[in-house]
Amino acid sequence: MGSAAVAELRRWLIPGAPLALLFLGGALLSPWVRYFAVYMGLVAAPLLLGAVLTATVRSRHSRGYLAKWIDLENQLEDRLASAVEWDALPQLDGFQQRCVETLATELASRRLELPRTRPRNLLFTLTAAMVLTAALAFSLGRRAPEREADATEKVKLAAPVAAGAGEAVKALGEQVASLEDVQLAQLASDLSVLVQKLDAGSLDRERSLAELERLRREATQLGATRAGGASLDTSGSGALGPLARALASGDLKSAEAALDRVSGQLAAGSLADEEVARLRTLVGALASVAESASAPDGAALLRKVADKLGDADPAASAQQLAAAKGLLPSLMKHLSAAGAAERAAQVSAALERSLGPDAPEREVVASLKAPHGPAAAGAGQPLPSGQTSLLGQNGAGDGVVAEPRSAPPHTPSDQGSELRPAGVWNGRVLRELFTDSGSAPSDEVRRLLVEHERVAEQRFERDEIPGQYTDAVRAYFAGLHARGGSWTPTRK
Amino acid sequence: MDTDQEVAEFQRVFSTAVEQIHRSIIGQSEAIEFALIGLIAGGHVLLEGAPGLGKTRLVKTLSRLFNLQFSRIQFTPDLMPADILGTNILSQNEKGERVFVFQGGPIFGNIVLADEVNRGTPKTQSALLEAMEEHTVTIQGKRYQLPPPFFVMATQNPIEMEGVYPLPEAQLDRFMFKIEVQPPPASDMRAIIDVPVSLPEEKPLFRLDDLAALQRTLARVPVASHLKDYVVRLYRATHPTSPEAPNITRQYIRYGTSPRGAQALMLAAKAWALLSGRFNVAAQDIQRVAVPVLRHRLIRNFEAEAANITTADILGELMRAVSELPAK
Repeated sequence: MGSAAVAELRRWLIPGAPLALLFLGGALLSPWVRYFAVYMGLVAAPLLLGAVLTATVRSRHSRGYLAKWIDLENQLEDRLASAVEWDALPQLDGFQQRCVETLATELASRRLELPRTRPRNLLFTLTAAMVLTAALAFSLGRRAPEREADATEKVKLAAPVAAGAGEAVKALGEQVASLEDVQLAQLASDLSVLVQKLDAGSLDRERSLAELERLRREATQLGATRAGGASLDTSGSGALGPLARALASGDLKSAEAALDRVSGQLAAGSLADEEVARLRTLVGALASVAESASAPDGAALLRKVADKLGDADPAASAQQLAAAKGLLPSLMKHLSAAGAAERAAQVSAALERSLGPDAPEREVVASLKAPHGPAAAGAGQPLPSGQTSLLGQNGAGDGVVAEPRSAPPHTPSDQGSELRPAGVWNGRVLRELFTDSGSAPSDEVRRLLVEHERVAEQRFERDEIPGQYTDAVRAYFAGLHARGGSWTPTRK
Repeated sequence: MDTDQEVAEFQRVFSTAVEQIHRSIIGQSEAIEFALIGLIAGGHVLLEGAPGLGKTRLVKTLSRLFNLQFSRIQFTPDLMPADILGTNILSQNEKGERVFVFQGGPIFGNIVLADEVNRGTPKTQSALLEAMEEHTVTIQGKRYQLPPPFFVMATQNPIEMEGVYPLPEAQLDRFMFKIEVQPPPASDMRAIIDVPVSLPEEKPLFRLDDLAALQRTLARVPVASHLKDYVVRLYRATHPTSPEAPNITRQYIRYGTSPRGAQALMLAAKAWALLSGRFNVAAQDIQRVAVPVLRHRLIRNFEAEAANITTADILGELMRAVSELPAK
């Protein structure tokens, strides 16, 4: 029976093993093949088992067959097979009786050799089976990552990811609040709401990923805008390395101290030519940041410093460089904004990964917990009073930072509101503000009002609004605030 | 007499007869053994060989040993059936009346030697058909029983010789064995030279009752069903149209053996089992007697004849192809 089972196994395995290997190889490469591999296995395994079992059952031999087999193995001259048949007879004749007696004598005089069969191609069959088993084990042990997921499936963040994301957006919101950057505040708010929805599992995968991608792109674009397209090389050593790293981390005091040291070294002529060249690049990058911060004077000064670097008079260059130290606070604010945007992009990207079919949860959580660049260093670090980048040359917007009316970012504790802090000043906001419903506007609407006021101020700084409207706009917002906390319903 | 004694008696008579025959015939052991088996089993034997190999002497010796009536028919092209069977002759009885009286031919004997049987015409050869199968002859509508035991031993010259008529398949099938008598080897030839051409007549050693006892013993040998199945498988394997036919059969055989061949195979195997001292038939008994029993029953096709493949070659291959083991 075992021989028949092996023979049946051989019959299927020897042609089937190469095909199975090809299929498994294909499954490692093609998702379609991998998709069908499971079904192929589900069909092939019972078929193979059934064939082997059937062969085993069908190969069961009668007593007569086995007796004849033993006869052949032991040269019993058909005595055993004949005796087995005659054993069923009610009475034996003389010849039959003597045949049985002769057989008994024969068996008593020697040891009976039971027939053994060695299945043909046993080694080949076992090799094929082992190869197939090893390939299966390898395939199962090293499954290719899933690349597909149901786009319509409602997704919910895993608890550690949700917690990490909540903390990340909370920190981001606090940082953004201190930066007084309306676009960043909008971005942080959107991200916060999205995290809430993801935590609640109310969005499908496609929409969630689309929203996260949009936020990531916006954050990246915003970061690039805030940094003026410049990037700081923080890899250097010597005197320039600490300066670049302090600038990148938003550490104003360290940056000022490092700049003083560099100025001193420049004046003493102890900077190598290569370092002077790197310093020129760094100052040029800061000039770009100043330009993006709508500080043309500062940008001009920094470009002038950059141009002077490497001239014959290092003392003069050092003096101009030291003079540029006064620009650092405003530049640091923009660098921090760029870092915050980068952090937002980082959080979005991590959440995108967490929604993938093969989500690396630990990696995502680590990524959410790891602050990067100025976003971390700048978070919660107060800027010197009256030295924000929002300060225009004319001091417009002074005091905004200190205002308690600054829009707090959404936190995971927020349950959301009908007015999404998407920054849309629409009819619903107006109705809430001006209709006589008898109740005060919600915090969301108040926050939205502040945000819009900031945007207006920022546009004033950039001269995006004609100057003749400035007073009217400020009066409009002041009028709204003059109503105090009562928010008396008013008809416009 | 118990079974052991029966078997021992069978072997004793057989070996004594063989020994006695060897006194006058040197060598030709296979021919002697199968002629004896044929006599005991009630089958007829066809000896094929060139003249002078001791065929006639073998038959004569056998008849003397068992005290049987011997008659000889020399087949020639002008031999007529009546010359074999006999005829009604006009005779005058005691009352003076003229009546037809049957005068039996040489077929009326216990051992009939049909010498050079293939020199007779097919018509004459066919005169033996009824006698060999039914042990009777029919002359002008009247049947005559042949005296028991009736045993035909025919000799024939090889087919390649001039002036011979091949025996028809129906005639061949009636012979239990066909034995090809080979020229003796050199060692036997030296002894043959010293044997006198004419030997003194030997006294009978056995009686007819002894032969009948041997036949009864032979009939009692049991055959297990798996061996009957084996014979059936062999039988079917000789037929080229059978699904069980091996390739060699399909390639070289035109017609397979008849059921009579299968019967003869089993009967001969029983005799061989007794000669081997066994109480049961074994597969090797069947294999041992298969060639003499079946070689003249297989009709080769042109391809086999052209390739000079003998029926013995085909049978050897066929027995290797057919497994002794039952199907399940």
